[in-house]
Amino acid sequence: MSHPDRNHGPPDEGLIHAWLDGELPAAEAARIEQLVRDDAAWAAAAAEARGLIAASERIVGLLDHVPAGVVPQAESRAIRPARGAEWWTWRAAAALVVVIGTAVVLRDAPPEASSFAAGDAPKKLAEPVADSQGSAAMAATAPTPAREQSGPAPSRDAASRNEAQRRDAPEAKRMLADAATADAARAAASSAGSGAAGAVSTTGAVSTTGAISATGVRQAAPSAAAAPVPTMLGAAREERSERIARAPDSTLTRERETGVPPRLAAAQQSTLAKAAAPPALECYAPVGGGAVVRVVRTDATSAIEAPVATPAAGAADRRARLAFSIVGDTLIPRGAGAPFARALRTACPAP
Amino acid sequence: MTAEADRLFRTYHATLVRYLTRRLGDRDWAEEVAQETFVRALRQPPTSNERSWLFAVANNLVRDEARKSIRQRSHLQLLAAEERERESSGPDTGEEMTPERAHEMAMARRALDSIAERDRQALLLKAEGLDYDEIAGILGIEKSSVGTTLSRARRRLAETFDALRTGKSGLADANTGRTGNTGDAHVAS
Repeated sequence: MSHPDRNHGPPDEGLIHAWLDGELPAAEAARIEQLVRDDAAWAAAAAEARGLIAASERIVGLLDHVPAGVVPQAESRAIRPARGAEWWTWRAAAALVVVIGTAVVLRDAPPEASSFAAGDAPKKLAEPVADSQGSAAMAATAPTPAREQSGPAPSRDAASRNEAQRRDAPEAKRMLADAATADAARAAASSAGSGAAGAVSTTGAVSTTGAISATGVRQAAPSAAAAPVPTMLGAAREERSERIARAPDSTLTRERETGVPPRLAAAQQSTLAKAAAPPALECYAPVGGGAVVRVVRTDATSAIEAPVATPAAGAADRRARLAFSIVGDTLIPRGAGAPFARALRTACPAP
Repeated sequence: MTAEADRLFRTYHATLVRYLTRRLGDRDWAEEVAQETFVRALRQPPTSNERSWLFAVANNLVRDEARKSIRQRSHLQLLAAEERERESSGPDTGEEMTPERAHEMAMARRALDSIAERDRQALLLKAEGLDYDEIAGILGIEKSSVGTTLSRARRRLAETFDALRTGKSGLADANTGRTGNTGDAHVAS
């Protein structure tokens, strides 16, 4: 850094900028101040420097397309309850529609439909746990008997089995209704997020608890026990499998390949997704465009998927899973900051 | 460790992202670099001046990032484009981007591109409140030359911006010797 000589000399721009930036020691600053006061050239240079500093700050400020601190905590607190309430309402309404729809379908169903219901929907109850979560939606959107009758005529053995199933239809209806109710209630409980734990346990159904504590710590215990399979349902399942195996119909062929009637596949998938358990995360307040999340569950895969597996996170935030870094017990997002921040403030309220 | 990470984020994330956004002209890229910077800080906590350390690491990451493959850059640009599209259609879009503002921003970016890399870094670091000691440490220059560096950068930035605004683009291009706004261009200079 040059210093002005005793004759003042030409103004030193660097020195003047350092002086205006407050970076000079007190003695040197006092000297520059004196120069600016006494020398017109230094005064003009100081005035110009002030202008340049102001102009450059304004120009640099123009570059801020997105202001820093994109996740103000007050905003996250304001958004959280509204979204939670919205989810609750929709899920509860969907559960109610499923229950009522199932009851109406079973009440009004002709004997052929009862045969189908006994032969198909209970089969889904006998599936592994993950599959059973979609049984409510499947029952509500079961295909019509006409489609089932489009296949080849049933054999005498099959006919006798169908007759047996008609006799047992009331029992099947009751079990199907129970299962649909349990599934709907479980889906509503798992998505409630209201601070209260919900538990559902019915005959042959799974038990799930989900809770979000008042401190903003989201915890979940998505364990589910395998459902016992009643003997009648097992027989019906076998009969259904035989029919599918024999059917030349293209629709049933697809069903044979996938194990799920095509018309029900979408509903099943949607229900399974909605019933996904919330992640086990302890959330810190989102800061700026990023955030720090302490991983409660030690399973690395779960930790990586957790923020986007939250039902409230929404499909638009899937990009958030692109990159994370796990350092110790800290999960740090590395990509698509804004989508992640949005997902996080939805999933994890500020403390 | 989580408390330390939380403190680092709270203290430096906003300013670091702003600095990188201004420097790179790409918010997503800036956040990517900032987050990687914090990852490194957590792995190896800075021992002395943590602010200088973080900005120095971020600078190094920007330099390293420029050397990465085109494929990775394309991926980031895709993400950035998606994000811009999403934000422009989202309900919580921030400040409205009018054509005038977009034009001014483009001119500011072009003016910033016109100055040398070291001058640009000094300018942006100063804008984030770093003092001359810190800037000198990050850029590897003498503290006594920071004032000169800043005065040169400020003058060039203001003059170029003014030239662009008054339509003297020829003068601006002559000053810059290049045009465009790519992150690689920032780093390559």
